[in-house]
Amino acid sequence: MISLSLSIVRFECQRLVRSPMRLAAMGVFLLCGMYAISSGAHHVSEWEKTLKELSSRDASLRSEALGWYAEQVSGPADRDWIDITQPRYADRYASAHAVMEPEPLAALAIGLSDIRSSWAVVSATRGAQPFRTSDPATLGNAEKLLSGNFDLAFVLAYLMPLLLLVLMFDVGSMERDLGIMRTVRTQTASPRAWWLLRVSLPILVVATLVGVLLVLGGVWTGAIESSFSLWKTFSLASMGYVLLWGILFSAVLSAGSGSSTAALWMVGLWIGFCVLVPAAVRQVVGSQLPNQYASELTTVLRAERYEILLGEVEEYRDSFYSSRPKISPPTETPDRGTASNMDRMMKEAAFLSKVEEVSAEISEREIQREAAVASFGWINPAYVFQNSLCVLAGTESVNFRNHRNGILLAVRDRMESLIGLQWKMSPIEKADFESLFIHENWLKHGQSPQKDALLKGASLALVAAFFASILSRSKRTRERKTGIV
Amino acid sequence: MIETQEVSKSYGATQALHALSLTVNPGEVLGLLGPNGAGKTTTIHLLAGFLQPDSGSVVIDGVDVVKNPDEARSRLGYIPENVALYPFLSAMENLQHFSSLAGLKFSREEMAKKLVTSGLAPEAIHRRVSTFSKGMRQKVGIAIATSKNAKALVLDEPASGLDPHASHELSMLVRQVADAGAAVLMATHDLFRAKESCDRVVILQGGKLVQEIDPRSLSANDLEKVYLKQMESGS
Repeated sequence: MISLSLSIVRFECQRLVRSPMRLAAMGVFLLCGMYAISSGAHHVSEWEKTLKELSSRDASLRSEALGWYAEQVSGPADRDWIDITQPRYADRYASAHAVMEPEPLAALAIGLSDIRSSWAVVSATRGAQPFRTSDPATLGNAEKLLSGNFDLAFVLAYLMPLLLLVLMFDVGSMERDLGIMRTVRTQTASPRAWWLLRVSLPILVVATLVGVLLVLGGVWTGAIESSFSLWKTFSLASMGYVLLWGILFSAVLSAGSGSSTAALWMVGLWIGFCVLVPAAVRQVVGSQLPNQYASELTTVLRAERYEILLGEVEEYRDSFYSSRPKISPPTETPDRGTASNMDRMMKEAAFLSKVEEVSAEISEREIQREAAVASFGWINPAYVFQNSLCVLAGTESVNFRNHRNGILLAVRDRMESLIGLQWKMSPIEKADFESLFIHENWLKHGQSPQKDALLKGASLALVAAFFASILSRSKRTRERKTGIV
Repeated sequence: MIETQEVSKSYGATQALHALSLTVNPGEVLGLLGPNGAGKTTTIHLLAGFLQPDSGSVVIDGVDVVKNPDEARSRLGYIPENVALYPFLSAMENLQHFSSLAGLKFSREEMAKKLVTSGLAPEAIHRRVSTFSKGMRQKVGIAIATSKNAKALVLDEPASGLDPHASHELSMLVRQVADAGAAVLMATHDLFRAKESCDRVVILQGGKLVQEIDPRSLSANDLEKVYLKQMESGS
């Protein structure tokens, strides 16, 4: 067996080295992987840079305001209308953002994170913006939206099977085409071991190249250093996916057809699993549960906000007080400025409730969409795998949904604090001002791979292996009956 | 030893072999003559385990081919009518690959010697076989099959595509293999080579063994006459 293995390893090396097509395919795959890693690293670097700038802006505004408290002045000398003891200015200068930090593996599976929100202002007076995209330029670029991100998860999910196809399509079928199979059979002690070794080696070569990209990505983006266990799970899932495609293609080769027929079947499988099924699932689910995009929601909510702000406060007064039993209408008539601030706060509270309502509806719809897509998971391995990598990388929709909820919670906390301070009708002290910062919400996400996704992948592999065995057996019976090898 | 007992094989409605019984003893070369479609290749494919007989038994060196085809094939050397090789490998690399599949390991010098012994020109040994003529490929195929030192050797029209000199060398080589103790069965249309290298010759017609001849008792011309007469009486 060792001698046979060595012989086939040497043979496969010769076959690879002397095939410019295969060498080119391997080179292109590696280049695609490196570009994807570099693109992901760049995206994460921009993401981190933005968060750093926001943090710096927050610190600068807060320290400016704390300086006024230290100097016992209400605001800057050159802008005398600013009074930090008033809730509306305290809200502005107690600057805070609800942000989602990139996870250690984010660069390897950026997914759609560039068109989603990774940060939002926490403010009671500027309106909650959970649907605001972090990158308006990308959201406005329909072409980019359609093409998505060329990340490592995409390379592994959709391009890796193509490389495996190039390396595998003529394993055994080349021998049939050339008429070598009979010589092979009379020379080999175990034709079955020969076949298994032959199909295993291209899978091993692809697994090695995938391993190289994973190590490169892990080192380049710091993923190995930051979270080795997540990277290890990411790598194991990727190797499992390579094995799944290896088994699927082996099933095709088991049918014992020539190389052109085998290649056509493999291309058919790739088109089916990597193009048609994901597109069909998306279309079916999309037609039943249409997605509302962030831009649409932002536009709708902006219109709602102006309608509320320009409307009559009486419309919201009752519900405002009834939902806040600890607060009651002021007994003394407040001055004009305070009254105006109170009215504004009531309207902002009404708007926040509206945003919370919309967000809950959107979340519900997203969950339904995800469940609908997941129900097709058995026949959608590429999507399931890509989604699992995004879960590990913290760029999957659940994380963004949690982040969106985090934004709303932070804004709600800020609003309730500010309402409490406003209704006290006394200047805001330094301690109260500082308490507003606690609403920062630096969310970190990253989950273990979905068990059901792994289960589906493993089940598909088992089904493929079963078919491979059936096809192989029927092929052997046919051959021994007809003599056609 | 090569042995078939009452072997029958049909392809659908076509009966390719009718209860064929053959025995080739160690050290013996048996020639299998017959017109196209007589059942020669079917017999060889049954011996190599590529086909399963409808009835009867096929035994190579004491191993039943039907029950244990892999083990039986490990004791068999096989040269097809059209030897096919990996085109991106040289003659020596092909020999090295197929030998190592059989668990054999030869030095480069040994492999070069085997190829030259099979009739390949020394300067062709390191050339890729994609540039080889049919005859050259045939010689590499012969080197592959004989290097296995199998107890049985079956050849399906091995001289096909070979020049007269190479055909003669092949006959000598087959003789050497038999003299070393192997049982050799050779299907051929070349009566002259059959006379040259075979100890016995059997004529197949319509899947039946119709005549057995000792070629040494006849001249090549007489052998041809016997053969043609048999064909005429059969038709």
